[in-house]
Amino acid sequence: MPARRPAQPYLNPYLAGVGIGVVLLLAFVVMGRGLGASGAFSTAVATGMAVTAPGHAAANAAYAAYLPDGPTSLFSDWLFIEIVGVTIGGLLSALLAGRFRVAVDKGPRVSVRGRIAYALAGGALMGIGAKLARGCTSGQALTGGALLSVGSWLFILAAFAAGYLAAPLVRRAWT
Amino acid sequence: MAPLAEFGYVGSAAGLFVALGLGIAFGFFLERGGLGNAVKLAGQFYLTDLTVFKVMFAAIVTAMLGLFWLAALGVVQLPLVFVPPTFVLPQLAGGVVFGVGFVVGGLCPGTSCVSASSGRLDGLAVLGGMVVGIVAFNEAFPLIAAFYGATPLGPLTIPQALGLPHGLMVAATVGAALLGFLAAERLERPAGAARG
Amino acid sequence: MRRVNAALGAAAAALGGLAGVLTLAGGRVAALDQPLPALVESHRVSALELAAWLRDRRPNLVILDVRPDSTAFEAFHLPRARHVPLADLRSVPPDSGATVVVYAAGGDLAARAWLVLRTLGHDAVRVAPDGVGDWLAAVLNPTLFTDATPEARQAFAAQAELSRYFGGLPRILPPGARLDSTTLLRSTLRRGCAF
Repeated sequence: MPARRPAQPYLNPYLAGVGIGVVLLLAFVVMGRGLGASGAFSTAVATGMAVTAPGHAAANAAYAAYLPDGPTSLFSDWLFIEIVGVTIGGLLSALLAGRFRVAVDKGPRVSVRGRIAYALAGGALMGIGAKLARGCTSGQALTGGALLSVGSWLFILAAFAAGYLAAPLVRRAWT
Repeated sequence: MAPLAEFGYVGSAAGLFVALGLGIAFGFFLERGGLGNAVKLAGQFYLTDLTVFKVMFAAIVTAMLGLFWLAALGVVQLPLVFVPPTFVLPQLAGGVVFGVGFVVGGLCPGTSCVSASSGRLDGLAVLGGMVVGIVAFNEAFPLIAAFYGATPLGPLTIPQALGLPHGLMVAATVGAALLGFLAAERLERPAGAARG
Repeated sequence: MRRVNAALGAAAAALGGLAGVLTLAGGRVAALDQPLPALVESHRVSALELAAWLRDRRPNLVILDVRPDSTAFEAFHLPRARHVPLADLRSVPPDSGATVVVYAAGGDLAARAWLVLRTLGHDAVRVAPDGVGDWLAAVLNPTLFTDATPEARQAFAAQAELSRYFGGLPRILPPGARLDSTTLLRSTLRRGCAF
């Protein structure tokens, strides 16, 4: 196994933000739409359901909405390909910066099991929240935020407020 | 003449390559900024590490300013850029649920992919949880369909809603963001370089 | 790092401030994000108007079906329409004497086509956002209800004549009656000397 490169410090957050902003701007200019993430998961879930239980997927309006051309549409779905890219980009950056490590990021007071439980629970809540809001931090906060969309800014305010209010309840997971 | 796809310069196949390229850049910068690390992200909510705020609003300001200036120069036709439609109540409710999930899980959908591809198992767990959440939502959809579609306002921007010119809102948002950045720098100083 | 941040902040402040100033100065920059429906409102054309233009052989009339799907176009399209999906509109050379009409089957597709064509240099572009539905209803299946006013009956007479020219089926119905989709006349193009 090659000698592991020492972990480099993170990039100036403002520069990272500007970098993401340029990517978002390119999306607007080239495609006429912004970025996203949760939508890709919706498509993947719907495709999975269509493959395992096609009748059920077709009969349920929520699944069917993400299956315009049937289950084969996953790899021609713009958001899904974008999320594949996000995953690759994260891997690349982590490797180059010596930050790739099979591990569990957690606060000092919580066990690995506890962290995983929190992760599953948080993920489930975000899945529901993103469906209701038609997007997540990428699709609504970043994209809709840059476009000054009313609903997106409502989402940003609600999400941050709820996060700060709920934070004391899960303090032991992080601090 | 932009958006390029609207004027026929980018077909569906080319569009997918664009998606891949943009996605890679997006994920790269997210990891560069440390947003693939759940502890760093959660620090946002304990005011010890305001990286999330800085990255997010720097991105919003950059894209917003870029779009305004390209439109002002006649390069981009702003009405052709897709604005996601507004649904007041579901987006407020969804925001609340999402925000709680964010502080509990420590990662959002996009950053959980970055975390997972950095080798973090908790990133994978967030991804798994999201799949469960989406399935639960879809299965319950017939019961909540009415709320889901409630209070639709269509594609609506804040300047349009307030009857203000777009450029003024851009200026105001930039000003607010800059003030926010100054406050963030002050807030973080007592915590020092403890995180990150 | 502080220098970089200061530079970024200064750049943002300058660009943002200038954006505000330029906007207050008025002109084109002040109206950048007008919503598409508002932009095209004064350029709309109804199916009936279009039908009259076709019957009267209005010169230099170009009708573009901008829907993406050629099967839909083959199944039904407006008379003398050309199929030019939104992505191919660049291939239509601007002609200052022509009146271009773009239509679709609902949504904002036709409005987007309008903006694309205007940006490409076409002067006179009219929009029928749901040209398909409007044509099927108003031209091919116009209905008059028996409780209509004399003015309405008179207007209907002209509409009915236009309808028959295009192979439509005007109907007089009792008030509150609805045409269901199976009775709606869908077929359209007349063979023969008219086209």
